[in-house]
Amino acid sequence: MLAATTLDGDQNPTPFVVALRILSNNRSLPEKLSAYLTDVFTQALQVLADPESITPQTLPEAIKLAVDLRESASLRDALASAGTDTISAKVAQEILTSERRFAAPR
Amino acid sequence: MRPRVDLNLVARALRHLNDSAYFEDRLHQFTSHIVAAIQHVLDNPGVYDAAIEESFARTARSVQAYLAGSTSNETPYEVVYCLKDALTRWKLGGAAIVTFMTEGHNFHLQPLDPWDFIEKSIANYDSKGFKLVVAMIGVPDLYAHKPVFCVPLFHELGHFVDIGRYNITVTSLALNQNLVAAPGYNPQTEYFHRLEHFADLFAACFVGRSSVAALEAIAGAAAASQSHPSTVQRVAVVEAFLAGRNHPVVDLFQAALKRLQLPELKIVFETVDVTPDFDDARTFTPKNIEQVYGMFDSAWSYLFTAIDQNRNPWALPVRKDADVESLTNDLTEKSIRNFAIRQGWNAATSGP
Amino acid sequence: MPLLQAHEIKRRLALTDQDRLFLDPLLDVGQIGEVSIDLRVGPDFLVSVLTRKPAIDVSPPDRRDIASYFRMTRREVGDRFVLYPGQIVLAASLEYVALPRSLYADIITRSSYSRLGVHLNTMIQPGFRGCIPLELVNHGNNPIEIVVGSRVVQMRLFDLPVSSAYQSGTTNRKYLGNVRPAVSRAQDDKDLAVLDRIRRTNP
Repeated sequence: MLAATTLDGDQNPTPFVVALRILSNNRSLPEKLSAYLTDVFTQALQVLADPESITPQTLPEAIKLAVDLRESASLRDALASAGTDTISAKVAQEILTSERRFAAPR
Repeated sequence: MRPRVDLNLVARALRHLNDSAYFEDRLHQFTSHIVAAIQHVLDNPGVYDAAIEESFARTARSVQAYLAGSTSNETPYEVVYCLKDALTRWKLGGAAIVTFMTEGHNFHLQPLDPWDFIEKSIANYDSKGFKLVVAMIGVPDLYAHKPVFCVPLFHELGHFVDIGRYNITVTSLALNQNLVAAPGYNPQTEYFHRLEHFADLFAACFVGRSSVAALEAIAGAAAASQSHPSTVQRVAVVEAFLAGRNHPVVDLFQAALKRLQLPELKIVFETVDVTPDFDDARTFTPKNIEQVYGMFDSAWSYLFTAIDQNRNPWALPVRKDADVESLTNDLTEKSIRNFAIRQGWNAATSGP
Repeated sequence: MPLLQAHEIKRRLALTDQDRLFLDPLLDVGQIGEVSIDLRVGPDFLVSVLTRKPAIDVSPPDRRDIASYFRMTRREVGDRFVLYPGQIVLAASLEYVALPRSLYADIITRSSYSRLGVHLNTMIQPGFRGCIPLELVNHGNNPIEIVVGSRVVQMRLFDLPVSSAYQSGTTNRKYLGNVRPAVSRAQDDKDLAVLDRIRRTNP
């Protein structure tokens, strides 16, 4: 009813979600996807530190992640300590769980 | 089923669709490129992670399902004509719009961007720069030739512009945590409620109060839920916007739009009155596209006033609401179509 | 009944009162001829389809909806539509027409299309509102490509000495305000029920 809905909120995963799924299963990312994920994390931390740094070029996933990071101290700490290019399976899974909050409702 | 099996089936279905359906040229190219990307994955077993193949299969299946649902002759062409103009104002003039028929009152948006997925995840496939943006929007099949009842499509287009392209609502959350959804702060509810407010305001820019009149008709008494603000609250926001009054919800979005260097929310439609023409069972002749937008609000008001007041301006010996509804929607449709035809003719006959 | 000539057609088109002749869109004033107005074929077509029934039955009681014998298809302006020999296709004018109560109209094929075997001859009542129904039949041996938006028919207008009400009697006009081709509503003719009762009581 006048809602942005997919038939299944997880039916069409984005590259961000796919990358996190691969990492959460302890597999390694292809180069392009890995570079993209690093960009997302880097930008997310920038936006978290300064929301006014958002530009038209800021990756939407980075903005979403920044909002999630604002809500979760544990996620913030995990990302800060791991560095943006060595995300553990556990952290990847935590981010995935957070990301699902932004899936459109049925 | 297994992803590679599904990909094969989808490719076959898309090839058949491409050969048999009446699409605009760009959609034929879109379909061909999706098929080519699928074939690339099938021709390179083991190159892509299982999660990538599985996700691509889901994406391709969705594309196939929505395209297949759009090939009927029931597309609301006249409303889509207006939606395309609306997208142009939001720097999305190159986007294609695909509508597919649904049941009940089911208007919805499929925020799908296969090219983003292909570019980032199917790294070895070269799409040669092809990247058509497609908005896939569900329309109740009962309303296919009923443009007045299709005003919710503008709301869905608002969702497309937001979550499908620019993530305006998420940006508003990053910039400003002030509560829209109350009481208490639940980030998920806050996000969902803002999504709806943005889509309502986006629609109101084009179709005025009819954007929430449709909501009142479908869910007038709806209380706030996890996914939607209450109808009363949504109406209040839109009415404040249309009246030019300040409202914190509107301010949230204007700030996000400014940060993203996007157009601000502002009234686009021009107020018109279809009554003299429709009372004479004649089409209305809009002078510009802004008046075409204005027609939606006027026709909505005309129709439901005629029903509520039992009007019979055509001196029908037997007056029925169904005839009033049919005539109003047909006149609206034809008025928009005539405008589009005139525009096309004038463009083709002007210049050298 | 005086046949309207060009100057009178133009005068009526410019009126804004109940005597106005309304045509929308009039894409080219050149459509107005000395004694007629050319009309264009619109983008929607109802094509007849073969079914398992041997005939279209308009009479009660066990009749199939006439709409099931036709399929709607749509083109864009400038697209082509092929009319096959012997085929009947229901189309409608691109123009939405509103006749005042004092005018009656004949619609006939333009000479260029008559010569190809396309024939149409229909009448439009005073006070009519809608896109003009075009029952196109190809009587020739060759399929004919019709371009959507081309001028296929012409409308001759006659001035009536006494105005005539479009809605009169006890039943509504069947095709008021049609903006696309509509299938026959012959099944709605009340006489058919009477004739059926006569048939049943025949010795």
